[in-house]
Amino acid sequence: MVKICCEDLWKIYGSGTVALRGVSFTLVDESLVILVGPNGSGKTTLVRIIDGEISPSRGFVSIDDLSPDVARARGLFGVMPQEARLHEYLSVREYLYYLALIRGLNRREAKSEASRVIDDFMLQEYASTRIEHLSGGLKRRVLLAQAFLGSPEILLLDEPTVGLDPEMRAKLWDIIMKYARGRGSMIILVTHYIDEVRDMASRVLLLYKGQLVFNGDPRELLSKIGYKYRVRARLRGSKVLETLPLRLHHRSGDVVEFYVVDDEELVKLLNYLAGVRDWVLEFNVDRPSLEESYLELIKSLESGGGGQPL
Amino acid sequence: MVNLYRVYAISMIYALWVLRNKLFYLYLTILLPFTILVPFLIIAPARLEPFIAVGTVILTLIYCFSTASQDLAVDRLLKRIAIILTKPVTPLEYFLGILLSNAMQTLPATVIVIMVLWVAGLIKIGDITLLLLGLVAGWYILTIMGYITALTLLSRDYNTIIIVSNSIAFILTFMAPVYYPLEFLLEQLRILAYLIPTTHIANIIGKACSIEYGVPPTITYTYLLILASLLTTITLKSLKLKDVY
Repeated sequence: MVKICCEDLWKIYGSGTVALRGVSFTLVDESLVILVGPNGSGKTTLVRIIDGEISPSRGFVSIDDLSPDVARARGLFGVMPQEARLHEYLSVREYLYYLALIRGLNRREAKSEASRVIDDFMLQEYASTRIEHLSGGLKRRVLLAQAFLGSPEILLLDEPTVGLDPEMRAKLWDIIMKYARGRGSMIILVTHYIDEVRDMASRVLLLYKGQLVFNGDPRELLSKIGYKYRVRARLRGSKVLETLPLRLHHRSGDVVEFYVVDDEELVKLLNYLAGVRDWVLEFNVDRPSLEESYLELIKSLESGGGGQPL
Repeated sequence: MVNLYRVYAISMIYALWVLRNKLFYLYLTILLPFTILVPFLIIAPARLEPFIAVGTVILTLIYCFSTASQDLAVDRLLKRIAIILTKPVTPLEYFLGILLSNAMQTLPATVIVIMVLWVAGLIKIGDITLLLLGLVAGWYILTIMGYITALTLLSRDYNTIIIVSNSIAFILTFMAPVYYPLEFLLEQLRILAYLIPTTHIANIIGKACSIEYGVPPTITYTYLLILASLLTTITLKSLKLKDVY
């Protein structure tokens, strides 16, 4: 069981920029934690404080009751930094081998660990290729792969799929999730593609202007948007709306969008639409996305309402 | 405890870009030393030729200083360093990796330069032990100076590190009596010259080649011993890897 505890973290850079403002949370035995927030909200700073790259100006972090420096020294972390370049004159295999040695493995173990990670990340075809000759997507895969060397208990992945096409992103999410399920590690993931991983996430942390404004499971964040289902219907005329049992949220031409708060209300609406089906040309039901909930929360914060710092 | 695999891996990561680049050997064994050596030999009187030859050897060692500082600067600029330093690396292991990497990058080239100068009759090696001592002292002190320079300046931008390290390299090469004996300097500048490490490294290598720089050996050995101890202490006790960020 891995435990990460952050207590009243502040980070004020030399330039006077306040990156974190009293962030506190505890993560115990989580599988996948999504760290989200607008650009400049302090996500990367928080990750770098947790992995011991930088010290907080105030507050403390403990990992299994150890300081980040001690935890790092014991090899608890695997880190994929944001935007880091690789030592490109090395081949993929050499690079992973040397990093496995740095991770503390002996030569034989490092060789087999490099091979395992090459297999897991489907890099076999490029194992002997110098990194400089790889495409951007493959370099990103190598950067991600190195974080998994030595099967660390905690993985800090800072925007691992940024700039990748959907197909490559799907592949990488698949690899990450397989790993999380197979090894029981805690993964802290900074990403803007929150809906792509929402089903696998056990917790969402939302930072806004250096403050933690949400800490809960994804369903809780979804509930922040105020409705559970969205029903879009194309109607013939406006007669249907006269006896509507629900509040009408948005109408644009002949398309009407209903926001439904629970299952009971959904059944009621669907029954109603069935009753007036001659006037309904088509309809569909979907759930709001995590991203929409996130944007809604950010919008309310920007307008000064809701979302008190935790 | 130092993990030697880790030290080896760090050194290889930093050294391989050079060891795989044929142009580098051409640069460090021919272009860099001899573009300075040849014109100096043409304009200098015959009695200064051995000094110019030793100065050329020192010049290749100064590459350790530049590499140590600039490798770190480039790594920070490209954010590559985070990949290494977020793994379980101690400051000592990281430093030893950089030290070994510099040895791999520089010492073979230095040996080639010495061989060329020896074959050309510009250097007469009288004491091989003293020569090795001078080379090792130069490699160690100049690398550690480059390392400390980089770590001290790393909160600044890449260009600042390059400008400062180039300036220091210039002082180490030309402000110290390595291409000429101490007596050539103005009286007031001689005290300053005593403070520059390359003065003493040249003095040891010069003695191995039967050249008299005019610096008393006791001062040289005492200075280098104190400097090496001081720099090692600073590296191991005061500088943390976090300074790199």
